[in-house]
Amino acid sequence: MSKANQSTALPKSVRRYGPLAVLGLVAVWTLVPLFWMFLSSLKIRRSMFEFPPTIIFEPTLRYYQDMFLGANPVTPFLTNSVIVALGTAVLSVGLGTIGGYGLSRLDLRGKKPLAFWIISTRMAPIVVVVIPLFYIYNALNLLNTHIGLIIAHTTFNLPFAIWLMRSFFDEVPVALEEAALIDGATKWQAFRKVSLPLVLPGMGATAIIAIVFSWNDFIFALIFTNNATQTMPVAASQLVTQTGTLWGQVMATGVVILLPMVTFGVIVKRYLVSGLTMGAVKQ
Amino acid sequence: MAQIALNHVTKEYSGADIVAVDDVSLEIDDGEFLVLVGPSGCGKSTTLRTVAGLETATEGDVSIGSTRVNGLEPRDRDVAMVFQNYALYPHMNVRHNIGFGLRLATDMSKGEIEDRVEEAAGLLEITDLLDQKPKALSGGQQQRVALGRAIVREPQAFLFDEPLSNLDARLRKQMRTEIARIQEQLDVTSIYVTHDQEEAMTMGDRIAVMNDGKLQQVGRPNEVYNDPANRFVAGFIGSPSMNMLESEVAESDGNAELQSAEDGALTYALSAEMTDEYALTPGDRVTIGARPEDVRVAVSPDAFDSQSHETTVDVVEPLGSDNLLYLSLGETTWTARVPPSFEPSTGESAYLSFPPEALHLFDERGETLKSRDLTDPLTTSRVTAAGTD
Repeated sequence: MSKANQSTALPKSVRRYGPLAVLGLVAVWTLVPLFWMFLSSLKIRRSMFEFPPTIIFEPTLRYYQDMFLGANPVTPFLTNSVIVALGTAVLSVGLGTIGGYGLSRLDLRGKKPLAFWIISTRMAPIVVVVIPLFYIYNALNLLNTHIGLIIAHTTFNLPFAIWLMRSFFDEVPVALEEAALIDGATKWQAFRKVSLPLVLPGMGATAIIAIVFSWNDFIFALIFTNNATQTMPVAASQLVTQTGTLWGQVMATGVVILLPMVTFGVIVKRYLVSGLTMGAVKQ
Repeated sequence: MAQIALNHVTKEYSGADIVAVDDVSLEIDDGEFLVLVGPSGCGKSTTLRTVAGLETATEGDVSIGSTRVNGLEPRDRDVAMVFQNYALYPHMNVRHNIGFGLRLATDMSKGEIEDRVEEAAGLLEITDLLDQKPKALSGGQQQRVALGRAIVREPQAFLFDEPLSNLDARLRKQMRTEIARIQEQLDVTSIYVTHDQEEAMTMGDRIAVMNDGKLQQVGRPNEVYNDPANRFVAGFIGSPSMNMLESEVAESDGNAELQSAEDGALTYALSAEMTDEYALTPGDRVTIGARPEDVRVAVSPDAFDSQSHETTVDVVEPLGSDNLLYLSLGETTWTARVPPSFEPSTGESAYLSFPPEALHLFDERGETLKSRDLTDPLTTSRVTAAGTD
């Protein structure tokens, strides 16, 4: 290392603890509200608004009880959310894999503009397309159906899924497929038995992104669903009533929405990281 | 096993206006090992891929055995290919890599496939690696697995696409022998693509030299070395490369001689027979060529019977078995391979000489006028002596 470099370098303690401090700050910023939400969901309404908030108190499960066993249980909404998220994931990953493979392998004229056009559809804000989509859905009888919402979510996930899958296929050497072709495989077999198994982590990563988008989506779900097909975020919003906000239920619903994603995230963390970096790192 | 024939094969890439392979005709005999050699981008790999079916010929026919394979998919051509980067399937262990083709394209039972895989692995001495994944293997081992995948199918032909260029020098030489041994043992028609002329010389039954998409010469290794068809082949085959010098035929005192074009650094007197035989007339532009192993060097011109030329020693490269001398001859540098005992110092002046039988001459278009005369005067005289005795 040169002298100049050393003189401009930060003190050792800053270099070591600086990043930790920044990460710690971000963690606090992200986790404190979630922790507060979780605590509040266990408090009776009165103690929810105390300041300073109490950390030690007698917890109650009444909001959760109310949510699952009360007059209006959230179970159907939870089911809707799961159906739509899984449907979106399957469609996005399936179509994204095929599209990404095509963009990666085909020798097309105008491949670059095509790829850009695909991703550009993702640049429009959702609210811009909601009204035209509403009319289209109305005409096609897709309003208030699971499949309607799945299609809407897939439309928004697909460009990203295609781009992601393309970068994964780009990492698989063409020679592998050529070797398979010479070994006696058809083009389909070369794709299915050689390339596809190698992009599985990528498909996993794409699925996770699709699920998270679908699970958290509010605006599509709000416009395109009715009581029977509502997803969790919309159900949560209806806890803000004309007579007041049911804070306890809001907090408990928030926890229920969050919990599956956190669990899922922890389980697939390694998978997700290896998937997302596999596309980026040249071997 | 089968003969492979290429008949006026041309491959053009329409989008880029590139002619990768230009009217190549080639016949590879049943069981023959043909090496396609040439610099990068000369079209040798494209030619091979056309035989494999990974590229389609724009014009011309490719046949394997008695079948014209032009329209056939790679899997219907019954050939096996070894790739430069091995192209092993990373998610399968060695056993599955080798058996992949048999599982996919034959109706052999699991047991039969297993036997064939074991047999191939035995031949390549990789039996103990069968349950490993490719990632766990060294480059040399990966290459053996790639070979195993090719031989297990008992195809009509082996196609090798620079299979050794990713290995280190020592391993490369070892695998070179190995591949030659296996090919001979299995007696399968093979096309081997390489840019390494040494590999071509040592491995091929015949060598096909390509440049700019065109076939330059096909022949046995020694033929190509001793009697190159043109300047390109002369320069490409042989290491270090053949020394060359542009010259012009001139006349001096009624005798023809070659004068180096630019700086007059070399004047080579021509015998009357040579002038007649190659129809050289004053003013003809001719390239002189001499292989480093044919160039003799001495400190004094008296050491030679034939004509010698003064030079300066630029660099001495000891190789152990020989010394390579880099000699400046006007503006060009010539190389000479001399015995290790001869070790002049840099900057010293020296004399080089090459006998007329070692002289190569190329015309203005680069075509060969004269090649090395292989009749060894010693052998000839010995034969004569024996005959007269």
